Amino acid sequence: MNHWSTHQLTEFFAAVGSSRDERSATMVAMERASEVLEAEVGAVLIDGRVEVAWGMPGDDLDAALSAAAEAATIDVAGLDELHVASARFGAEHRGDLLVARAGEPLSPEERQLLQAMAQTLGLALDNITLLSAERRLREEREREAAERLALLESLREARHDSLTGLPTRVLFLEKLEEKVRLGTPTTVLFIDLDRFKAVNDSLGHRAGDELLAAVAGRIRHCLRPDDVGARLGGDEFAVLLDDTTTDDAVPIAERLIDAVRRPFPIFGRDVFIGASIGVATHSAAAPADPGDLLGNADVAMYRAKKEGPGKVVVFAQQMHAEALTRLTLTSDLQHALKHGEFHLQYQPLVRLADGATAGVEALVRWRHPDGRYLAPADFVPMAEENGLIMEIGRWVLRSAGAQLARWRRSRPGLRVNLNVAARQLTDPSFAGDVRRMLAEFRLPPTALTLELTESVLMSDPAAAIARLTDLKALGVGLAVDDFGTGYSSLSYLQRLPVDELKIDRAFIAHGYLTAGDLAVLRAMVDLARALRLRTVIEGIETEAQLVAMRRLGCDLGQGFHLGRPADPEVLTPVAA
Amino acid sequence: MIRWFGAGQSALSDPAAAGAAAAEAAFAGREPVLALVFCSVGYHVPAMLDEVRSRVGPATVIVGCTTSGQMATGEAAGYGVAVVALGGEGFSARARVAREVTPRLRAAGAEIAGCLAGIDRPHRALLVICDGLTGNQHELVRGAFSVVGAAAPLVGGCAGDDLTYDRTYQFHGGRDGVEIMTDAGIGIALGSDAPLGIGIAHGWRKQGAAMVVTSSRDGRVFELDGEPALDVLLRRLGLDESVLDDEETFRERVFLHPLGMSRRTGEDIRVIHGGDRADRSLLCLADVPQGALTWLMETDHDALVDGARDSAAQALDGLGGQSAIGLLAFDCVGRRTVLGDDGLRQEMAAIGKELGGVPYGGFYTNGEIARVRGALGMHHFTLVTLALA
Repeated sequence: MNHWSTHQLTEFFAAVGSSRDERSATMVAMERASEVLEAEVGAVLIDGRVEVAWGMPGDDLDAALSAAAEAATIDVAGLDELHVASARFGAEHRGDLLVARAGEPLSPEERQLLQAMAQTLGLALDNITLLSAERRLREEREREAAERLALLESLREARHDSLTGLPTRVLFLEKLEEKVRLGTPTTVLFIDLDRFKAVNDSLGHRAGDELLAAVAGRIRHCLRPDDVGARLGGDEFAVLLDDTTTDDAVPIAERLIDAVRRPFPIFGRDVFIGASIGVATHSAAAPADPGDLLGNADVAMYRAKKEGPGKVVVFAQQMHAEALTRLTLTSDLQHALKHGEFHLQYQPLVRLADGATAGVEALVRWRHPDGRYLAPADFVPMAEENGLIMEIGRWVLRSAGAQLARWRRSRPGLRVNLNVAARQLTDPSFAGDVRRMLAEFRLPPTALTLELTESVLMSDPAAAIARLTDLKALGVGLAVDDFGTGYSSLSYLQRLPVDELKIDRAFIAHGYLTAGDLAVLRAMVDLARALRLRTVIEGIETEAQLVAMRRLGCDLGQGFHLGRPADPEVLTPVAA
Repeated sequence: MIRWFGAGQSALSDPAAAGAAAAEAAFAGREPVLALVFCSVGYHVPAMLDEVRSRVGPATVIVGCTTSGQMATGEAAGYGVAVVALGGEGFSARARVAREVTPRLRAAGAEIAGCLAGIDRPHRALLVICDGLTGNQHELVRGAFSVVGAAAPLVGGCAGDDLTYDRTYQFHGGRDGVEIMTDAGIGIALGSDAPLGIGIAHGWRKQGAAMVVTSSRDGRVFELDGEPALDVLLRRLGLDESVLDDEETFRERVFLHPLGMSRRTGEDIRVIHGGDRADRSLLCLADVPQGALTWLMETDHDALVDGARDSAAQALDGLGGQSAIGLLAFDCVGRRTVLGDDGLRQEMAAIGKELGGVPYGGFYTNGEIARVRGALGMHHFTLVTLALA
């Protein structure tokens, strides 16, 4: 057992086995083999040629070996005759480990040791080959994975919305195209958020972004794995419902609306918004191009928006015609502003106690070039939507101001009420416009009362209070229009800096007032009085209504019975 | 001019005086081709070397190092200066230096061996002198062998510092100046028209059962037979843990028990020069490969003296029947420590008797270099001799 050769084989194994690459394993094996066997020369041969040599130059050894042919000794200049021994290594004869020793040839035991060392080298090389192949493969895989990831990341950036993580319009249309091609019934929901702009304007863009991300989360939560939600831009979202007919889609759309209606905790406060959804379905019976399908859903959404917040509307073909009309209307409105097609009519506001005209409400009318007269309801929503309301509002403000100034020369106490749209209220320059108008026409601020509908005030009461406070600071009067039709929060009503409640005509529209009607009306008048607000009852059409309201203690009345809207020049009670 | 070899030494404490005395004794008015200067650490070396180089010719190569003792004809000393020189017809010498060798021993070895190519004499050898504290000196020797090959022998020794293991110095230059370096290797290509003979012997034998080095890295042995190496050593030598309290004591006690590794022609010896209490490892000055089978070694005066005689005899045998003009010796400091003063006198007498009046000189080394047969060139606890005809 205690023989030097077995001892050294262990050392040899440890040294060669710890080599990191083929080259160093080969070198170490060659050096150690010659040291262990006290051979002057060591070498590794590949295909019979000297790959590396130790103790003499490789070329000289090559020459000596070829000269010696099959002989067991070689002659090398400067050295004694060298006894050569070699052993194959590698399962498939990768090469030979060779030593050449002066003096005495290798003993059988030494040849056996050389053989063992060669086999060790073969094993080590196999291992290293395997390991480096594995390492190369692993590196290759890692590189490929990294490239794929980078590619996905770049695609993702273009095809996913960074704010919400949802697919963009591009990716949505691709997915839609895929579904449409398969021919399965596919429904698209076009979602537009209600009151989002108010949140953005009042709480800031960061809050707006938070809200959009939260909405995206809610939408995602409502979907099945094969459905696709997307953000199209702004506050518009779309949903692709896989293998879903229109009938099945509507309940899903309603669930989405319910989900969005629940309060969103944004920056420490609850924010309430809503959504309107248009629905369009592709089926084998009614095939559609993906872009058209999304467009149809958009058109339906527009209709939903028009019908009031939180509605679901399914696309119908005739909606295209309406959409076209809308487009025409927009250009017509621009034309109207330019060519002075708007004008104002005025309806008296009568003091019920003595029948005197306390003021007038200015009402905008559009005399269309085709001869029709259009009421505000026919064009104001469109103007609100396309922003023309701002310009129309400024025109109304100045026209009414000018007219009032004329009237007040003979009727100094006369006041005018003007309707303010939601977009005007949120416009930071609106208060300035009002101040300039009053100055221009030398009107006291008390001569002007601005009417705001309940829905405008209540969509974002906090923001409304801020704006109204600006306006109130000018000294103008503020009125809540159409009171009772929306759902005013009484707590907000108390905090709003308003002076006047205009009770909606709906409460006296029956012609004959029941005890119940009167009870409600009385409650409202009492409420107004408690809040020190002036009351105006709209829609008085009969003497009986007039008498009843006078009896209730309502301050002012308005309606056909008291005076129809009329052009200023023919408004007799005022002109008189 | 006739070929000559001379050796002289001085134990004078004045460096200049010691240098002058040793050089004059070695040169005896002749102009050397090669002058080897060996001295104790602590000398003001520049002053000593100034005296040596003032006595050489313009082409003389001066090399040398600090030592753990030196010897010159008939006398060995722990303190002093020895100068060994050779000259005359048929000798040539040139030297090459590698600096900052520790991190690149293999490359440094190859670098210094390059000088041999410029020597065109029938008999050649590469003398190597290198820092004795570089760690795995075997790598430097392998580097030298990779260039020189089997066609010429390697012979030399590693510089010492009186066994303080702090810092050793190497010298290289000529008449115009000698550079004093540390962490350097010097290759001296020696060419001669007459044969060169080399002897290698130690005189150590195995003691007790063999042990497997189960964990080691470079010169540090962590485990023997799976047990902390330091614990094994203390138990085998019957030493108490307190022996580690003083480095000097520990070194003295274990010096006589180096590790021997099983080799074809005997044992390769490694001096244990420290024990690390923190990780229970043993510090050797040279590589102890993991997987090696090793023994604690022992010796006695007679065996060591016999070793010296053997080494000198082998060197003389290498001269192919020609008579020697001198002998250069690289003797392990471990041998000197074990032998003691009396033993050294016996060793000198044995060498002197073998040489029969031929001058000799050299130094006590921290590692010996000799490759004549095979490819292995690093030795420990060994006396390496180079006889010149």
